[in-house]
Amino acid sequence: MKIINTFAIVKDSLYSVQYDTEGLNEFAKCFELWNDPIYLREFFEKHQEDLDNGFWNGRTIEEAILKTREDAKLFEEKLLRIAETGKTERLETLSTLFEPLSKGVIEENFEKDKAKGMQRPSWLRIYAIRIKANLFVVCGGAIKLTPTMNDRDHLKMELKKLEFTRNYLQGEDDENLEFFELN
Amino acid sequence: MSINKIKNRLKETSKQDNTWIERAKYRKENNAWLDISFAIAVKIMSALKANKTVGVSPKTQKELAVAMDCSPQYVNKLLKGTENLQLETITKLENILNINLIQVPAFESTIQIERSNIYTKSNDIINAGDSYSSSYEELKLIGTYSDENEFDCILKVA
Repeated sequence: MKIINTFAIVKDSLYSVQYDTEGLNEFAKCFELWNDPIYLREFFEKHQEDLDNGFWNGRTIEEAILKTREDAKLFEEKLLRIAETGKTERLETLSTLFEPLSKGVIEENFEKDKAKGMQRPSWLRIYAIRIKANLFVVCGGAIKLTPTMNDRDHLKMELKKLEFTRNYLQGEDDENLEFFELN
Repeated sequence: MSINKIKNRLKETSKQDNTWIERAKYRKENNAWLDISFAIAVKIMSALKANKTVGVSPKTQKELAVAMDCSPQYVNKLLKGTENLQLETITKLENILNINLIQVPAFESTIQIERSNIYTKSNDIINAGDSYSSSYEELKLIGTYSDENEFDCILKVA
């Protein structure tokens, strides 16, 4: 896996990486997938057991698909407001969306963070590295139906992407290398 | 590498994202019909899945395309929930899959019946003394009784 580009979602505040295996940056990709009924149907059919978990009240696949899109819509509208406000004034609200990936694990720099969808409870996640206050680099996103990230392959992949992007951002400076060519 | 150096490098080398911002604005502006298109897509997929379970056609996108006399690409577009569907297409889907996709609400009407004027034959339809909300079709039915039997009622059309 290789990062081929970084994109400014909200200038000076929110960036996203794009991997060589994907046609879109990770941030844009999340919202495309969460608005895609075909992808969502396949996903929930595969993870139906997790949906049957009491925490999610045994939602049907159809209910899960509709919930995902509704939550994604609210999430996107919130981020859109932030993106539009961010053009003219100092952005303060982005930090309120992100929180440390694990409770009690607060790091000064390059903290692994997550942002949750707007509904409570929400299974939508956007994962990012916090470079400093109000500066985040999105490295992935997922639908998280289980209590931890260690039990499902797609979530383990997100953990790898977080680690990969953090290493990438912390890479030693080399004037001869383009930023996006670092591995 | 210092934080400031990383920040500057991000700023200098990153491209401005246009994909998400444009798509997000489009989704927001077209929210009303996209909601319906998405719900229809979900329902079509459920119908295909149900057909597959009982072995009835159409059970795949390909079979649906044949039944609709359109391309599989168009069916895929329908199932992405981003197609601004024509009524003709919707009714065709309803017929082929034997499901309801959209419904126009019936005309709501209120009929008030005086206990003293209840026509005995209509007891199976109207509860004595109650205000009765009825669809247009039901009103037509009651209206028939009224015409034939001097049924006394006050009719309100909402």
